Amino acid sequence: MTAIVESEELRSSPDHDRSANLAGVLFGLALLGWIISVFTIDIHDVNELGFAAAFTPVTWVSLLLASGAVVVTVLRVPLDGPWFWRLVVTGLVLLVTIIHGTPMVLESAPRFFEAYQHVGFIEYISRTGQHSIAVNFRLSWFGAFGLGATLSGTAGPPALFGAIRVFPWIFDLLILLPVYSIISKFITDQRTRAATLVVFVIGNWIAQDYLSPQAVAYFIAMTVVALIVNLAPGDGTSIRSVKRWWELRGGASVLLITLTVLVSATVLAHQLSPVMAFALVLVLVMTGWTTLRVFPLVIFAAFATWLSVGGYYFWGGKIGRLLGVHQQSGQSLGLSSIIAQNLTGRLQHGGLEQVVAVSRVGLSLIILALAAISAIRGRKDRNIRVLALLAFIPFLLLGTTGYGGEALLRGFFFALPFTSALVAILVTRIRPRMLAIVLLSVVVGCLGALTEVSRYGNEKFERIGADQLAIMQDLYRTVPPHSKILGFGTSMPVNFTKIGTDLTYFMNFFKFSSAGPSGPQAEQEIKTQIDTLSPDVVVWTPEAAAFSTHTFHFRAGWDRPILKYLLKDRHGHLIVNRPDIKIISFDRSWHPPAGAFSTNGD
Amino acid sequence: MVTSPDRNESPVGDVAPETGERAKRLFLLGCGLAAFGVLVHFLPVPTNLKSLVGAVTLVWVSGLPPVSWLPRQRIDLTIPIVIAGGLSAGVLIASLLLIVDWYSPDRAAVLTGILALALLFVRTRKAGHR
Repeated sequence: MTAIVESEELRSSPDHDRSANLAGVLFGLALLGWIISVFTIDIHDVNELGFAAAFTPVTWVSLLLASGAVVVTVLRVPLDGPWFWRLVVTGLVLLVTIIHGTPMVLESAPRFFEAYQHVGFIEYISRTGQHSIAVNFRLSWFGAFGLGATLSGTAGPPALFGAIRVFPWIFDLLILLPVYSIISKFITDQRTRAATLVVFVIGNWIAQDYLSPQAVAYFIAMTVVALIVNLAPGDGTSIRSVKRWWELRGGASVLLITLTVLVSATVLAHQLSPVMAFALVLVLVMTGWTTLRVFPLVIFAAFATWLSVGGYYFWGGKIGRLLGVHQQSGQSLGLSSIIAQNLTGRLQHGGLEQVVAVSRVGLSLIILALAAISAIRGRKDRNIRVLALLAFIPFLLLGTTGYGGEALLRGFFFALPFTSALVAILVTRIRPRMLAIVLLSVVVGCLGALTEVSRYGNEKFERIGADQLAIMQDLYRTVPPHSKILGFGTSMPVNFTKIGTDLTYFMNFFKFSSAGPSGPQAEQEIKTQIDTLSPDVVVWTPEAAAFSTHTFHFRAGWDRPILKYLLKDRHGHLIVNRPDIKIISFDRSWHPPAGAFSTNGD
Repeated sequence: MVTSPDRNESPVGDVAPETGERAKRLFLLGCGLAAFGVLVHFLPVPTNLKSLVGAVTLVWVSGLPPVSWLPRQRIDLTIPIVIAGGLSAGVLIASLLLIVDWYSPDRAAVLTGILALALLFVRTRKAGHR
């Protein structure tokens, strides 16, 4: 595989030695600025723009300095000295820390309700030794939760709230290793390799990095691709017939066994990642990049086997789920709806929400457009053509899964290593003159700011306060077994313990008539379903109500009449009454002891 | 991150001259890590720290077998192999125990660690006889 970009002659000036010193000083100042920021950012300033709204001028300057240092390093620091990769790694760690580490350090409790649900699955497996699909259909893919129970249970019951906090930061750094291994087989120029990693960090706003099976499966899937391109490289002969495909098969058995183990783990961990791994490996086989020509069949066989056996509960009787139809609030979504939900629907908000939606679409389009330009410019280069194909194939996922709103995001995430490489090939063609470096530094800094807005904007409902979490822990500790707990929306810290013992329901999963949850009958439909369910406890948080409005199209302010109905008409008793959480009990036999809710604001 | 081209390009299936020594080193590393993980379990340190050390050492030990069987690679590929291998071993053994209804965290952790060390030992013996 030949070099794509080689522009060392442009960087042979002796004064380039000083660029390492300059980059080092800029990194030091950026780190100092970020540390000062951590002590000066007021988390109460976070609004729909996310943490970007709370960033102080010092934070922005530190991001700009880090961006400048990265650009200087990638374009100017000599490759023959010891400092190039040390400075690149420093820059990547700093960028990831400023973008993703700031929320990690500052938030009073780790974010994202889905991660708490995953902790609940892990705790359930650890406590019961079971993986009952009656508890939740997601336990059909119990592998990663079982792994979590094993790893967290080595010293007693799982205590994973700390893991929720640090997982995104660790994942965003570690994933750079297999990404580097993959693109190093397509690109020989080290500056372009380094630029690829920078673009990957800047483009990774997808929020698929939280404590989850898909994050584990993504890492394993990327390692599979890295192993294949590095250890079983093909001779570049494209496959044009089935006979040709079968004749040229090959590969070491040790490697095949290792890859089969890795793929089997992804099959047991997550429903979607094996499909993506299959698509990427198929491209490598068809383009002659690997001799492991039978391996796509292995992936398909493992995937189909588990889907038929373990995953039957997911799709049995609901074949539409496998054919691209996704259910939401009782309504079916097809392919066009998924695209609308992901793209056009997200642009129809107002105010700051619109700014965030535009920044997400804009950032993605910038990366995709630059990648497309790079692919067109380099279309005569075989490596670039294969990179372009690898970047395109994940988007076929849109039409092949019932993954709903996340489909486009997942496609973009799996394409990101390859789109990043294409963008990097384009960018490193720029002559590294002073003006270009300054301009590029500003551009990278602005893209970093866009990433911050895209990743953490419009996700206020993901935030969880330490008091909310403590109160929910108190609730689960004191509520009688087998209680029915109803939440105003899934965006709250629930189900992190006692899954299978207490039953939790959410109003955003209620069924509605054709007009949906924003229709004229919605309020009455919610009340009727509350009466039918007859919950023992109802939990309200502003984030949960906002999540139902933002994501499930409930009317703004829908929660107020429902709260009034629960307290006045159904005679609920307020156990906890705070602006950030209310707990209403309907169980007359439940009397929490005094002080049970240590942070009750009453 | 980048080492010599001969390491980068070593073909699958070839056994490098130092393979036996390398397999032995990996086996000793695995034993050392496993011993450290178990030792920390009995030390008077916070439970969270015990869990963290236990998890990291278990992933690392169970990710070593593929490293010992595959040809030597650059660090940017070796670390993903170790991590992905360790995670996959944990997923598979936990899944197997859950399917046969015999799962407990301790059982899965011990089985994963012992299996990894056994594979490393077999590799050491095989490589030593070449």
